[in-house]
Amino acid sequence: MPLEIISGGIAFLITLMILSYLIGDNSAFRFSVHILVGVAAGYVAAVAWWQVIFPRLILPLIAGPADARAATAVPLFLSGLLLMKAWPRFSRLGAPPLGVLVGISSAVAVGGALEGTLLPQLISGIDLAAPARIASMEGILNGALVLAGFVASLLYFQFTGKGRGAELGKRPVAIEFVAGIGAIFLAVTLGILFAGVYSAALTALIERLRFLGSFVGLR
Amino acid sequence: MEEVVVCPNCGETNPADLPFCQHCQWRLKTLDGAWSKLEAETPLHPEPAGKGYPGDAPLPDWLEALHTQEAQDGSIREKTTESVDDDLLKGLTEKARPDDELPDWVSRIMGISEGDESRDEPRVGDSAQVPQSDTQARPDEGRASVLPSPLGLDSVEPDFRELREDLSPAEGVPGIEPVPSEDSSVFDWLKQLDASTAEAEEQPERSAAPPSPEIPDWVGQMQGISTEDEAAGELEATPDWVMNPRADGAIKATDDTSVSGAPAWMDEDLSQRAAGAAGDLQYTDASTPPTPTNGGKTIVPAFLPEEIRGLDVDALFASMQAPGWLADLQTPEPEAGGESAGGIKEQASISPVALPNWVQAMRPSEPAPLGPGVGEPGANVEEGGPLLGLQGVLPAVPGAGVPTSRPRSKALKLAASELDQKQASLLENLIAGETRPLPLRGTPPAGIGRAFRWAASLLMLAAVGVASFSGSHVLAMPTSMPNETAAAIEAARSLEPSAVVLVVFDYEPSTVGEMEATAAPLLDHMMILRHPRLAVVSTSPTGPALAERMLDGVLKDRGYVRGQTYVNLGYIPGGLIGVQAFAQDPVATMPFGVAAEPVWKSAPLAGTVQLAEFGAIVVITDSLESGRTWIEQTATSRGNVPLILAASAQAGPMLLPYFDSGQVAGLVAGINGAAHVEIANNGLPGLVRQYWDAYSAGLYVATLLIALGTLWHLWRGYRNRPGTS
Repeated sequence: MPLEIISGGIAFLITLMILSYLIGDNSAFRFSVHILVGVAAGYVAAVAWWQVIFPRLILPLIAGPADARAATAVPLFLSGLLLMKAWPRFSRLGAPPLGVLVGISSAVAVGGALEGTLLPQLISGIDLAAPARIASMEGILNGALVLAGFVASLLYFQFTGKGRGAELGKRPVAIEFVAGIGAIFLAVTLGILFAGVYSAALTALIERLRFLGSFVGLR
Repeated sequence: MEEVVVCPNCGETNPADLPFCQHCQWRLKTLDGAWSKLEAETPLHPEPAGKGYPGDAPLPDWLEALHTQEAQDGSIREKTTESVDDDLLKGLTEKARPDDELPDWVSRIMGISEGDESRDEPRVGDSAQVPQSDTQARPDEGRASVLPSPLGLDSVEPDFRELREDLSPAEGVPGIEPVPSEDSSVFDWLKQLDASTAEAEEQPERSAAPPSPEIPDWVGQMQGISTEDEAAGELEATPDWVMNPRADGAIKATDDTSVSGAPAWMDEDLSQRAAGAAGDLQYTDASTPPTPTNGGKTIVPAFLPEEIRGLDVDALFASMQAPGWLADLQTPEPEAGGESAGGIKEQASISPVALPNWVQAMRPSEPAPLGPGVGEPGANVEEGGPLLGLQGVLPAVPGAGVPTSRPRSKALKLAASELDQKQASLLENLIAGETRPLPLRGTPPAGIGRAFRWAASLLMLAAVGVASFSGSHVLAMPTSMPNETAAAIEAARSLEPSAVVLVVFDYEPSTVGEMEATAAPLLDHMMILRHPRLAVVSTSPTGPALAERMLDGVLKDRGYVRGQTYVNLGYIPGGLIGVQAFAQDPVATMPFGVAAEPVWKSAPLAGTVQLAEFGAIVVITDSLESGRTWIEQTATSRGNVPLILAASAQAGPMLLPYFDSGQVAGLVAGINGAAHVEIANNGLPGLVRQYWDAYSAGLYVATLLIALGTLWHLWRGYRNRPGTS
């Protein structure tokens, strides 16, 4: 029997198991989820070994030159210390390499966010008011809309209210009005995000149904 | 050889005939044995010669001293040794002889004549016998071992001894005359008190029969012993003035003699005080000692005999300053015409003597008026308890002394403003509302929710399934191309021929259906137009496999072969750190391919060692984080290399700002964007077209369901609003 039929059959069954969640949580669905998790974990472990650990750490120590061996001594030592995290008794030994990882990741993330997102986006927002942009009505409306949405969305999260009188705890009327507009922008944003999620899920459903149909010969 | 006895307490040896240890005063013999011997040999209270004492023998000095000291101790100390008394009484009881008469000297002391019925009366004064003084003389040794007196009477010893040496039984005390025998009393002052008390008893308030005091049994026994055995030599522990101050035979003070041999200075002092203080000592016959009253009732103390219940308490206290045997030698006031019953004759020949400090300290202080006044009608007189009949007692505070387990609770009132009270009441209502059970509303019948879900699911499956299985191409493709999609197409078209394009596959296997449909038209368009060499890489472990799937599946018509037209660099570990490292040095970060082959020297990547040397970078991702990571980390390293994003519909809207900011060359978001690319690619590969009808049907069903649900909730909200039936 060709391997494709076997793999196809397994995929067909697992797909049906997943779709059985429509009638409620059942053992078939759970079984298929367990299979997915197990297969994913095994595949990841295999990839990590064959594409990372073996060629980058083991192979240089075995067959690499002296400089390569020296270069792998430090990551080998740090990897060994990081493995100590698996035992509570020696978990403190894994603190140094973990600290190195966390520190470097934080530095890279902060630097990238600052250079790759914050500054460019800020400049882009300011650039909306550039003469070239506002030369047309479309540019003006676009800029105004962006500005209004930006300010209104931020004011929506401003919860400082009055401290005395009968209106204790209430926001000022102007802020309340602008916050209402911001709520509209936020609602539209959330709706768009929901539409994107639904679209992705729908596409996945379409693809699976097509698979099932093609497997059974409906298509 | 003399018999010796070892003391059980200290272990010292003592003569066998000693009743007490001469070292520690521990009793060596039983009371019976001691007293029986003493009874047989020597009376305790020696009678003067000729007074009818058995044998009419003069008392030895030691016995006289014993009697003296004993009487003195009895007037000073408290009588607390009931147990000793029990022993004494027991011994006396056993040895009592019914036929024995009360010795005269005992009668005189107690103020009871022979055949007097008062003898049968219980005498409160016959209390516990005073334990033998530490300084009492021993029969054989005299005052050999003298221990300090507990009341500090050691200082008295020298005085008394001196006095005793100067006195003889016949001399008595100057200024004190002996009481005639027919009075059978020694204490004239007691007679005087008795007389004054008799007058006071004539008053109506004294007509009430005082309650008989509670006489302990041992006192009764003592009385019986004293009446039965006059020669028993009983000890008189109670001071005589307490025992029977109203004795017929009152003790009179004479200049010459003192029955008890008291020194004259003590008698003189008593007489002076009696004569001087009119309010202290009321020994005169004319005096009317106040009777304790309380609300008209006559309150009689419980611990005093009948004879002295009507007496003035002050007089009684005043009489405490000297032993009884001294008081009978004093005359409180000079009486014209001789003696009177219960009075004390004052002798001019008695010279005042300075009292020692300890005697002066024993003087009672003048009673302070309490409330209505001491002695006045309505004065605060105790009606019960140990202070029965006493006046001037501090009134007890109501509730004082009453044990309470917890302090009294006091109401606390806070100074709260009106606003505070409103807020407090508001809080109270909120708390009460939390605990108040809410009525359960009618729930819809079970099964409606699940049925609605099934119906919606079946509708969706039907629409999508029919559209998919039918292969229909009824619904039209979109026509208005977004700017970001146009820019992506333009960027793909602007590649140099055979340029090396880095393609990043950063999506999960679960989204393979959408991502292949989204990215395949762009890559296909790029492959068809520019025939680029591809370098595939991924930050996800499953990325390399997905890349192989796409290139061998959807894009297999383009004939790309690994190692020839494309290389698979494999998995970049470390997340954003790996991307940063790859952006800085791709060769060092990924030296080998997915199959561990050297790829950087292969044909597809020949001459390319830096990120900036790539023709374009295409990132295929289904998440915002992955796309942003590649945008941020390669910003400085890629230079002018265009970055094109092929994102999922759920990540596309959030990656759009990067396109607006110019950081991304183009963006293909979801099926909608891919449709435009596919249209621009002449409908190739055609996957989007195959999905489009089903995709549109699904969108229509979702839109219909959302609309119906919104209308339903609006109608229910309108129906359930307050004020509508």
